[in-house]
Amino acid sequence: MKSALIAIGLLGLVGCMKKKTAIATGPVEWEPVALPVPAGYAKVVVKSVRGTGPEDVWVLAAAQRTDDRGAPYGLSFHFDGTTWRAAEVPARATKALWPVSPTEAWAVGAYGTVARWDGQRWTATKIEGVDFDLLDVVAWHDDVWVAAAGPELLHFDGARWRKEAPPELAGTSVHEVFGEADGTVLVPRNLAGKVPAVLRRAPDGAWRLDEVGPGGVVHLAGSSPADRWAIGAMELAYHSDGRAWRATPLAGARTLGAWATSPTEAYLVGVGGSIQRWDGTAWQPSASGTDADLWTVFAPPGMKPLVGGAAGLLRRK
Amino acid sequence: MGGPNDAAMAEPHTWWGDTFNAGVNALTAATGYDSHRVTDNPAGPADNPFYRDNASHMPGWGNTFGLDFLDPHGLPSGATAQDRATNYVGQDDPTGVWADVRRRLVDNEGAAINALPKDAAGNPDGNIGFLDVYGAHVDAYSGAQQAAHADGRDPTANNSFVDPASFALAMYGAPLMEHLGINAGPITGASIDYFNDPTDSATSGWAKRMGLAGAEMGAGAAMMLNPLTAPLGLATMGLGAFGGVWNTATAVGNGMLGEWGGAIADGASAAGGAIASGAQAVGGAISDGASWVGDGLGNLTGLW
Repeated sequence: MKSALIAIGLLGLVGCMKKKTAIATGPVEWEPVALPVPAGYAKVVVKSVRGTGPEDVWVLAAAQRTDDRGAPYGLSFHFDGTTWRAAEVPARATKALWPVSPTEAWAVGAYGTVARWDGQRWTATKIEGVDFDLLDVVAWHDDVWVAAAGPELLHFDGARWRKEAPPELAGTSVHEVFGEADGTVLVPRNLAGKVPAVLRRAPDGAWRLDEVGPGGVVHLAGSSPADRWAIGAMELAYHSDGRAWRATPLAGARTLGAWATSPTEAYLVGVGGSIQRWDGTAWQPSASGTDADLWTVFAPPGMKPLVGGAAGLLRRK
Repeated sequence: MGGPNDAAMAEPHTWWGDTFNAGVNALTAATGYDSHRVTDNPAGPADNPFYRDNASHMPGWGNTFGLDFLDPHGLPSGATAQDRATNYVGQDDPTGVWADVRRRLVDNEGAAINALPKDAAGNPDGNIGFLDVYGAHVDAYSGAQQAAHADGRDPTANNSFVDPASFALAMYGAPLMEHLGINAGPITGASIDYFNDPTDSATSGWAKRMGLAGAEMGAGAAMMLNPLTAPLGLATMGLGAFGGVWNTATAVGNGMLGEWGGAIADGASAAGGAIASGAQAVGGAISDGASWVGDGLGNLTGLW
């Protein structure tokens, strides 16, 4: 009995060691981008990189103030094609960002906090009755959609926020949301016993479910309705040319973020500095030069891709 | 955006408390976890003020046992325990399971608060109970894990929630540290990381908690040797024994035996593969040898 307890105790201690992930090897294909971090801030962590084009790129970051113990702050950095400009973001709105234009952007974060950029500054509000964390956002002018680890989306129609819960999402937990240029909203739909799917809301308000395939859908990306990606956490990504979904094996660690530039160019980022690049045929590992987790990637046509995470902001060489 | 109880429930900082917590944080860092406040790490989630904002509705020493003086900060101990828990765990979770747990806890406990009788102004009046909070946690863990299975974010997240006796110790016991000037956050976060991580498998979580149960029983047995500490020793042994039985039952319910079966099947498959490979190698060697002998004989025959 005593030896059994000791053995179980040792097993428990060994089990307490958290697993680490190996990093990719090979020539480093990415280089750091120096952001204009204001004086008094340190340890800047990039949470989200998004934009409407090469001349309207946004980086959302959380940072620590060097003069204020335990108080996190948010920072945004806007790139107009020439220079970066920093602005302070309310501390709780540091999870995800989606810009509409240089004068309108939305950021979300903890405890129902939504912040709006009006061209001059960020203004935060708390959605009434929403006491949980907001995880992701897509937006068009006066049309904002938020995912929050629940069986619904939160929608702002320009006047007020309300929960929108299409029946297809009942029993699910939505962590991400994606938007296409025409106003189409895409949501992963994963439910035990059902084929993983993409739930799509057309600009006319109609919801439609597209079954994808086994393995689960965690991230969504796409450059057009004929170039959509439904990406799993570990093993498979599915690509749709607008007619059918086709599975492709992944080549890296756990995925945390995605962006599709064109049918022959897409990127995935993940834990341990993992970056994968779609070359039109297969996912190829791309050495980032960091072992820090990467959460976000943005790669529009006409500019070098940007990835962000605990290591700050990186740009493809 | 300061809440009504933010100042009252601020973590205490004393030289002895901060020294103790520095040790806790060093230990957790050495094992790959982080037991600092989530807001100390920009990579982590932001501050969650739900338990501070709703502190007056939480269970505690006063509204459960009539021992108001034991509640820290003049607010129910359950508020302190859960505020420290939610704000000291889940800093580094690529699976999203912790985000799901946080959401479901707010949903579940928020619903329990909304179900309380209303005062004249229509606001909830009174406190939710220990079992409301415990049930909310059990459901949050289970729901978050099922969601992570469904979308493949974490197919092996099966760790069952800790037994109610250990949870009661966390809810009523850990906050007592704050009377002594010790911030209960790091030890609460470390305890959850080690013994109640929802991203663990059923087997891993069970093994960790059985290790804890064994330690509790051993410590209790040692205390039993002294008549002065014998009652506490008996209680500690009882906590360990109860935890061991409860955690084994819930781990089995969460599929621990299936995990073992899979591991055994994988092992058998690997062993079978090794045997087959070995047999193939032996067969190949025999074949090569026979061929060599045959060739040799053929050559000899040719010489003739």
